[in-house]
Amino acid sequence: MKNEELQERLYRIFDEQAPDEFQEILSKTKEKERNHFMEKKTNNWGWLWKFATAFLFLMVLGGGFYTYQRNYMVDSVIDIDVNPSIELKVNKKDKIVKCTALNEDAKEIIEDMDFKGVDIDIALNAIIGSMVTKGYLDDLSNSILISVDNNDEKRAEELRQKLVTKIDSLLSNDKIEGSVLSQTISEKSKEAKDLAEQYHISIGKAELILDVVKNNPLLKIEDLVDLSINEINVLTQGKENSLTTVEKTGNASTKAYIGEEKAKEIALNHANVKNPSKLEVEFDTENGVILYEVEFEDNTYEYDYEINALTGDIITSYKEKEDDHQTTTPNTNNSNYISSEKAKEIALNHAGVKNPSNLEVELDREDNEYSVDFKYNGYEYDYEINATTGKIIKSEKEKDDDYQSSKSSSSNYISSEKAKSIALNHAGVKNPSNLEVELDKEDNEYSVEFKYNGYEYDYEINATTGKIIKSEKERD
Amino acid sequence: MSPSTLSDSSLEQLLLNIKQEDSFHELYLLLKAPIYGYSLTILKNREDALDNVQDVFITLYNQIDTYDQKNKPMNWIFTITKNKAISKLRKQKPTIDIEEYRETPIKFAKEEDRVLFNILMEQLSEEERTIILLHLLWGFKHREIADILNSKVSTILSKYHRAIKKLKEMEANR
Repeated sequence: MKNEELQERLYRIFDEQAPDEFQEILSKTKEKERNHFMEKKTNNWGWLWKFATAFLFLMVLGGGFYTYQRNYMVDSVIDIDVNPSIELKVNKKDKIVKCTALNEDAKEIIEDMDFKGVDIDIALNAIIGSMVTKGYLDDLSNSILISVDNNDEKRAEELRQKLVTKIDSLLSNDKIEGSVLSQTISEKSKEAKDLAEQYHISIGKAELILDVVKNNPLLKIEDLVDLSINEINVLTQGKENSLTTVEKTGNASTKAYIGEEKAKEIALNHANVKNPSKLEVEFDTENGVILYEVEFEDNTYEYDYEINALTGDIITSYKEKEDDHQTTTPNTNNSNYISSEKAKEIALNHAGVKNPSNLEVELDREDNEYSVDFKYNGYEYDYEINATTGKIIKSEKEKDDDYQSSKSSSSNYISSEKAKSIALNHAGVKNPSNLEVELDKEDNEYSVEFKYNGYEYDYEINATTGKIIKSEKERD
Repeated sequence: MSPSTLSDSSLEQLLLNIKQEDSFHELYLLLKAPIYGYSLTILKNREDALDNVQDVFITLYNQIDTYDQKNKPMNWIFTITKNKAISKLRKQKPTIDIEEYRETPIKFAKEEDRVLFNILMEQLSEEERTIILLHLLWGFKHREIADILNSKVSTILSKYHRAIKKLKEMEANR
């Protein structure tokens, strides 16, 4: 019996034993509310009177409606995105009218800070400070996005410049070489609004993603929405005109990744190629994971590798005979084939698998077939797909004999060493004591705990992506 | 669908709209199983456990203003469930023991469910049962369970795996 099945059965058992008593509960709450109302009723007018007095007092104190408007009317809306996303509404005097946490991470950043009436500079200082302390901005992840929304273009641009300068100086005070992406939004596009709503992201991040996708057609919106600003920034790095409406200072940090040289080495070793030609490496992303895409050729084949940028694991390897390119009609040949991406998609859809491991796609031009092999959840899959029509010629699924042994070293997980080093790097600690690293496969998390210099550190790290989910530091 | 399949934000949405009857009802249908399961583990008596389910939902409804959005919704709901159950436990007659489970005849949709239920309630320790229910019914991660039970993740993980193994083996041998 699998755990999912057990979970379903337990839920059913307890659900059936607890009959639906909703109506009874509802009438009890209504009864309570009625009693509560009777108690309060006599005070109702008193409350209204208090409110009216307070409002009048405020008007007199502030010198009338004009002052009220200057203090409480929202002039610009500023989105700050790192991974935490925060929205600040400011008045004409750049004082905060409202601060909203747009995601869970942002709640952690804002905590119980109350910014109402506070100058934007002071609020930024506190917010950036909290992001640095809590590990959202550091040497490994140094990018931040600022979006200023104001109908007055000139005012939006002034505010944008002021904020970028302020953030740059705040980051350098913390000894972080930051990369600040910034934009003004005078007219929100409907597309960005829809995107923001659909994926629960800020309008600013939605506009950034639309700009990136417009200039980099190979990247897909749904692959970008879950990425942090640093990860999106990494993907656009080194490409000309990869951003048009977004301004940028500095460069995205790639220190968390294995590096292009290492990625090349891994791919060449796997392919057993010593002297490749046309070797190219660039960043790419799939399923929320940042990859190095490594392409090269030798005398016989063209190779295409996708390598997990954090762990160095090979996610996909693709190899294609080059012979036919040298024939006289390569173009007509080429255009008749479905892409290797498409072949992969056909096989995965058929198998109902989303994140396979050990995926290999090979095009056999002589037989006009793609062969797609991969492993998933203890099974090996083997597909043959017609390279012109995309029709599945053969599909096989059999138990993977190596599964148990390979599971512990499965290419889907980062190693416990890696998890440890991510936590230690983040904490800036070299020789901790009482270090414990645990892999929780069901929750797909490493828990890393250690002590250093009178503090206890506690990290939760995504076991596939290496992303820090939670970091805590408290007095031992 | 169990709460573990629902994201924190969708659950929070339901919770924040609890004053609307539709949301309240949806929340109730979704959560009565985990709340009942945990209450039964603590109170060891079906009637008291069902009473506790009612009390918990009335409290959620009346005290929604005190819910702090910095916390995860399930943590808040669990704290209320646990506190209510413990205060009920104090008022219980001291004679109640594990046999109470059997006193009220319970209908099961499938005979195999009865077997599983009896093993869970009678053969596993209260701690093992709590860990299994918190993970599988409440959707808490092992790390969160470690926080709730004031223990270490490694301890919870090994106890959880041992308990699941025991449960499966016992069921297979019946």
